[in-house]
Amino acid sequence: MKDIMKQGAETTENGGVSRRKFLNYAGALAGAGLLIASCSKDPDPVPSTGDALNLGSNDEGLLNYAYLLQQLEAAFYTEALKRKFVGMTHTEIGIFTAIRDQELAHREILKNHLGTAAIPTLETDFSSIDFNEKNSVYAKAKQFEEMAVAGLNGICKLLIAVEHLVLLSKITAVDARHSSLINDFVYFGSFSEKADTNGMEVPQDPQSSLDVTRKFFKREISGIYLPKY
Amino acid sequence: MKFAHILNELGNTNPETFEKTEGRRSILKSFGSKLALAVVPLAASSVFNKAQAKTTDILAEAIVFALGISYMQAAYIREGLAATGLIPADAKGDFQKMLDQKDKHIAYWIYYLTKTNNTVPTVPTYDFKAKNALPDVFTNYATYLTLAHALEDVGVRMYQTSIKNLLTNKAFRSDAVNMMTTIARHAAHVRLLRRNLGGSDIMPWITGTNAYSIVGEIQKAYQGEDNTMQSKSNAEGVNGFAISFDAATAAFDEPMGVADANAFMSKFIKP
Repeated sequence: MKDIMKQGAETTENGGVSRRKFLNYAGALAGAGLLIASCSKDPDPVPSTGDALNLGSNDEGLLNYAYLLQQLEAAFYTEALKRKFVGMTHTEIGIFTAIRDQELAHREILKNHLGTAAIPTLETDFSSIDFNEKNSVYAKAKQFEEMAVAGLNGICKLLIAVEHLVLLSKITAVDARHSSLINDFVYFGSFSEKADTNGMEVPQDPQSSLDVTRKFFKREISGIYLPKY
Repeated sequence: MKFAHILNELGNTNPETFEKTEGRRSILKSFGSKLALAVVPLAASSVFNKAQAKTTDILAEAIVFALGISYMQAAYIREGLAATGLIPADAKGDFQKMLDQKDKHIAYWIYYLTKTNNTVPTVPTYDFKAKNALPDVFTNYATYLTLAHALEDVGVRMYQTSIKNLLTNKAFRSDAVNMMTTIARHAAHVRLLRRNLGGSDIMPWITGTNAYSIVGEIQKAYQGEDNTMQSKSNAEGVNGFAISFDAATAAFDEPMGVADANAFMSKFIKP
C-alpha cells in the first residue's frame, strides 16, 4: 500500500511523466518490451498539451487510455449503486455490484501495471445521466461497455509489448461479457449486435474513441501523442 | 471489403526480406516482420503464389490453434440445432446467430491459410457425449448449455493464446482480438440462457474454476482460471479495495495454452 501511495504522489499533476523518467522506469522495472515500446516512435520535439491531461505516447499512452476507460466504468457503476434507480431489483444490485468490482479490479491492476507512468484519478462528469431513471442508467451502461470493448480492442491492435497485449486481452474479454449481458438486459438477444459481417467486434482507434470518452470527464484530456492506426 | 487491409499488409511485404528468409522462415513470418527497408510493393497475389507451406510457422500455428476451437464450437451448435426438441424455439435464433458468426470466423482463417499455402486442418469427428460421460448432451437442454458455455469459455481462452502468438502481425492479431470478444459475448449469452433456465446461479463471467458440472471432461475447461495474479499485483484485495477472490478471478479471462486446450478438446474428438 505504501509503495502505491508513493507511486501515485510521483505522478505529475498533468500526468505527463517526463520521457527520461519514464525510460528510467521502463529500464529498471518493466523489461525490454516496454523499453522498445517507448523508443520506437520518439515524439520530438514535444509540443505542449497546455492545461489538458496528456495521456502519453506509445504503449504507455495506450495503457493510460485503457486505464481511463476503466476509471470511467468503475466510477459509473459505483455511482449507479450509490444512487440506485427506482425499482432496482436484488438481482440487478447483485449484478451491478459484481460488474463494479470487476471494473475496480481492472482499474487498479492497470494503475499498478503503469506504476509511475499512470495518469492521476480523474473526476468524472455524469451530468448527462439521470441515475434515478432505469432506462438512462442502462443506456449509459450499454454505451460505456461497448465503448470500452471497442476502445480496448483498438488499443490491442496498436500495442507493441506482448505483456501489455496479454493483460489487455484478458480485460477486454471480460468487458465484452459485461457488454453482452447489458445488451441482453436492454433487448434480449442483442448480445453480439455490434459484430460486423465477419463476426468481429468493430474496434475503435484511440483518437476517435477518446472523442467520446473525454465528454465524461471534467478535465480536458489530450491524446495527441497516442499511436494512430 | 473487410479483407482489404490484410491484403495491403501482405502487399507491403518486402520482397528482399521475403527472398532472404524463404526456406528458413515461412512467408507468414515475414509478413509480421515488415522491416523498414526500401520497399517495392509486391502485388499480393504474387506473394501468395510464391508462398511456401510451412505449418510450423508460429503465425500459421496460432491460426490453426484458434481454428481448432472454432470448428468445435460450430459443430456443437450445428448438432444442437439439428437435435429435435433440444433447443427451445425462442432460443434457436440466438444459436443460429452465434453459429453464423463462428462460420465467419472459420471462413476467414481458412481464407488466409489457403492464400498463404498453409495446410487447412480437416474438421475432426466429434464425440460430444465424451464416451458417454455426457449421455444426455443432445436431449437435455441444461446439459447442452453447460457444455456450450464450456466450449465458449475455452474459445475465449484459446484465442487469447493465439492473440499473443500473432503479436508480430498487426492485422491478424487485431482480427483475432475482435473475434475473441465476439466469442466472449457468446459465452456470456449462453451462461445467461443457463441461468434463466433456473436451478443455477451461474453468472456471465468465469468465477474461479467453477464449471457448474461435476463431469471431469467439462471441468478441464477451467484449469488455471483461479489465477488472481495480474501483471505484478494480486487482484484479490488490490490496493486495499474489497475485491473478493470471486471478483478477482472473474475480472480476467486467462489464456489457455496448448497442453490444457488439448486435454480439454481431446475428450470430445474421436481418435
